[in-house]
Amino acid sequence: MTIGAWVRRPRWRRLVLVALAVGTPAAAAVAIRAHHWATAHVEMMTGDPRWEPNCAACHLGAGIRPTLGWHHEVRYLSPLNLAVSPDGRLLYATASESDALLVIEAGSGRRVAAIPVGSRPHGVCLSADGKTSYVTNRWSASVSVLDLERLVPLRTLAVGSGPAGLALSPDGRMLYVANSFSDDISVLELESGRELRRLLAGRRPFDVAAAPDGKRVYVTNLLSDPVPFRAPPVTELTVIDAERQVVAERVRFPNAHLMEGIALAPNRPLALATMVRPKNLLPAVQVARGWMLTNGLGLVSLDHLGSTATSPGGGAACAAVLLDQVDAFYADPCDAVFTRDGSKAYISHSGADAISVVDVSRLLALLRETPEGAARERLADDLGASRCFVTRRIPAAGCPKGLALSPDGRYVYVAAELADRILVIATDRDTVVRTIDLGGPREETLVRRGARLFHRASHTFEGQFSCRSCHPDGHVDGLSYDLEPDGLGRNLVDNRTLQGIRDTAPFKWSGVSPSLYRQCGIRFAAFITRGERFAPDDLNALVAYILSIPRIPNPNRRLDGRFTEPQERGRVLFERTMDKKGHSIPPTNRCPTCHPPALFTDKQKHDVGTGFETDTLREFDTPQLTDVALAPPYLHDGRAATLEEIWTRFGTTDRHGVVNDLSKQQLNDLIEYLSTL
Amino acid sequence: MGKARWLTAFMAASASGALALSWWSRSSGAGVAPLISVETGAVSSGLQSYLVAAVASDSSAATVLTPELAAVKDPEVSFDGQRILFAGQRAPKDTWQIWEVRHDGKRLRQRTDERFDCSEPHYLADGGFVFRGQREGSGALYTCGPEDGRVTRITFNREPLAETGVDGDGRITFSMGMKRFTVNPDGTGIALLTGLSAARDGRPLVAAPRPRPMGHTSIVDETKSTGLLFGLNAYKTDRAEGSAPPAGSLAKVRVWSALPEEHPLGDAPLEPDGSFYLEVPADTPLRLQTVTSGGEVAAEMTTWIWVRPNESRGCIGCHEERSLAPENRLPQALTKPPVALRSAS
Repeated sequence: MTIGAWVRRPRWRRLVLVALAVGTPAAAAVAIRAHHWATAHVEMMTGDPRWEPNCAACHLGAGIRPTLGWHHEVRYLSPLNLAVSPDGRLLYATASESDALLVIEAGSGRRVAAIPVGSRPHGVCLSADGKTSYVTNRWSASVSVLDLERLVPLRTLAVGSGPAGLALSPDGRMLYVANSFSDDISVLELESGRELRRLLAGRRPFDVAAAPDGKRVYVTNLLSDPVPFRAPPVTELTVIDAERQVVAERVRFPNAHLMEGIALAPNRPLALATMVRPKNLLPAVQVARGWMLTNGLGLVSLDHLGSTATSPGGGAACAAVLLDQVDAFYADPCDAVFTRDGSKAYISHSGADAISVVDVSRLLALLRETPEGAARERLADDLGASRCFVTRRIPAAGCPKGLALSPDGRYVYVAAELADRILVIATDRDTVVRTIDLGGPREETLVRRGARLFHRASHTFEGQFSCRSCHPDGHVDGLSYDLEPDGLGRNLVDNRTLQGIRDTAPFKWSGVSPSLYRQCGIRFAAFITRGERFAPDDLNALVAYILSIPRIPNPNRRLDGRFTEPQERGRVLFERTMDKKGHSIPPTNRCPTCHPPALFTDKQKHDVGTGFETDTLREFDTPQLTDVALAPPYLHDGRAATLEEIWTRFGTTDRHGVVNDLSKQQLNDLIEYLSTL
Repeated sequence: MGKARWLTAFMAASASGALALSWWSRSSGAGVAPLISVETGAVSSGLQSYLVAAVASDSSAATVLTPELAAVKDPEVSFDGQRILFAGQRAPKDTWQIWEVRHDGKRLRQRTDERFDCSEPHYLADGGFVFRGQREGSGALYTCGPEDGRVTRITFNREPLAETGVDGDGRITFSMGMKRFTVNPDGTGIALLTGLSAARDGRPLVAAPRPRPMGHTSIVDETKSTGLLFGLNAYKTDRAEGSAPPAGSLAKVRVWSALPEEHPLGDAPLEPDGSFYLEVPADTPLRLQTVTSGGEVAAEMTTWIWVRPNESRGCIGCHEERSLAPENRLPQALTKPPVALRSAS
């Protein structure tokens, strides 16, 4: 039989062959085209030709499609802060991602119990007899009171929003709680459980320390007070008169922020607070030698408070020193603890995976040798100073956060948040002598891996900062930066939150990054870290983590979901189509046109008259308005200190929404509504 | 077959496998890092130097890695411990070029083909390398890309360079005059070295893996011809207190270029806060002077610096203290456009 005859009979054979002859090249053409398209798409989204097209990596693995969000099911412990029982036998750790207080035997490392508390527990402290513990629940706006003999919850006390640090008065009668989202301090009387006072703090109050004499309570703040546009940040240490329960003083540290942890020396009137000294007013042209930010300590001479100091070394009360070295940085200092005799202090650096050991006498000697005024200001920027007083850097892997000293003073316990471990440092040798595994999940999810990259500074030149250094809690640091080489001193950008940014692409105020892969990959390495690009697998994990950062509970929303009267009046103003004179507002000038629900962004760029003399661009990415009240300052370069200033100082032309017919009261209502979004 | 016979057969197989494995690992040298040295010997045409790989415990196992070359020098081992980069001459009168060979002597290849002598090669984090090129008396540093082998000049000063190295943070270090400097692998960020340098310490070179330093993402844009240079405060110096220029005494900053020969590029005003902001020609040796309101030179740089195309460079002061981080303050000069000082050539 010839081939021709074989093909002709039977007929189906011919049809199959024809289909193959036509279909194969067509399918190949489609596949090649699809591959070309995918390659171009991946290069556009990442800006990095090293990426191979891999649909699943971005669209499934990173959880962009929540249907396969398997990584969210793994619940880590993520211990944040620690307390030690008076006999030193038991450790208590807040498991921030498992909503529990872990009780651990210090000697054996055995977990005795996990007492359920509220959402996202943060700080913990114990009564003097060790029978009761108090745990702040950052997302539940409450403090859990726990019976440590029976290992059960006793009661829950309502406080402000985002309670973080807390401290008991020495007589055990009062509890002071720093409410980090509502920017205030709850003063609780424990016997009645009543909140006696709600004191105004700085911005994002975070840690609390009570003086042993019962006279003063000190509260650190993470973010700078509002300052004029392009002025240095100034961050407050709030000092409470614990006899009258009022704010006695607001000590302001210039050029400092992220004052996270505070410790009081046991033997002298001295407080140490961790701090970051940012360089946001300089163009970010290099990282080396502390051009982006430096990590340090604020010192407060408690005897001299009262003569409020406003320069790093000015006045008698305050000084600042750096913990960094000239060619090695110790990112994200976050907690401090003194030894029993006050001779040494331990500082945890969550970004550097290290603990610095400070010789307190040498530090104080250095300050004594440095005259107040210009020399102290110089000292606050001196990267060589730490060699005079930092005696050791103890490697402490796993994002070291909260510190606690054992009652006998022999050990410092370190909560390693992202390793689910407690590290035990012997204070006589200053090394990690033991590691307590808290028994968290063994597997490393993509999101967890991303969290580790986000919090670690090792990908930045000389380890100067981590992603978290500018995005504490995945949120903003409240500063504007001059980031990219688009004209030095020009095109400033206000830091934008990472909370709840899934589905808000494009990114950056210029809208230049179509994806986080591009923003956190090539742009981040070239303009910010000045180091190496993340490897594709790492970048994928980092993006997965950032997209998983949740929005915090908005303190301005009522729990029942309904609006207050001013909020409702504001909603009507936001959605109005007619001005007060009854004229129709052009659709382009109505709020919901560019800020439509649910994210309140149309993801487009618009010129609303907010391009200023320092800007090259006129059109800016429309920001989402979710949690807008929690992220001042405003406008793309942060020149509006408050929401109101957007319209009163910078919205005189009615291009950024028609507002100039509104009364002051109506503007207040509009802002009340915006605060609920 | 009984259980015992299975066991015997299994043990025999395992033993022969282990023997084979041990023979393979010995013959391939796995697990023992050879020492690399430069040896010199007499040949008919004179002296020949060659790279030798030797295992410390076995002097008879020394291997000559470069029998084809007339002379070698400056060897360095790659981060994975597998390859050796060195300067070599094929024939005694040839120029020195950069060569690479595996530590077992295989895959000898020439990595540069320049018309000038190349020496002191060092691996860079990205897989490329930096080397010193001796061109008409004055030396410069060049990099060679990891994939395309493209050679790029990265230093543009006028003084001879020596003792190049790569630091743990990935930056290139070198000596110029009596001082030690550091520069990024793309030639940006020339600065006095502030930390300890990873200079070679004279110990024998071991072909073993070592930590790879961090890479650097470059913003150099060769299509541009200028870079930006700004100073935060010309009054800030490392001079002893009292000898620093008094506030308000300085009026201008004067920039000199060395291309084609030494000449002033121009003056730019100093702001009251001591700041200045300039746009200057890239890849050109530059020197800055501060000039008083009376026209006298108050201070000047003793070495030449440069900016790469599209680089933005900042300095804290003049002869700033090396351990000082910059003050967080908006420099007045940056509220205006840069003063453009273009090359006369």
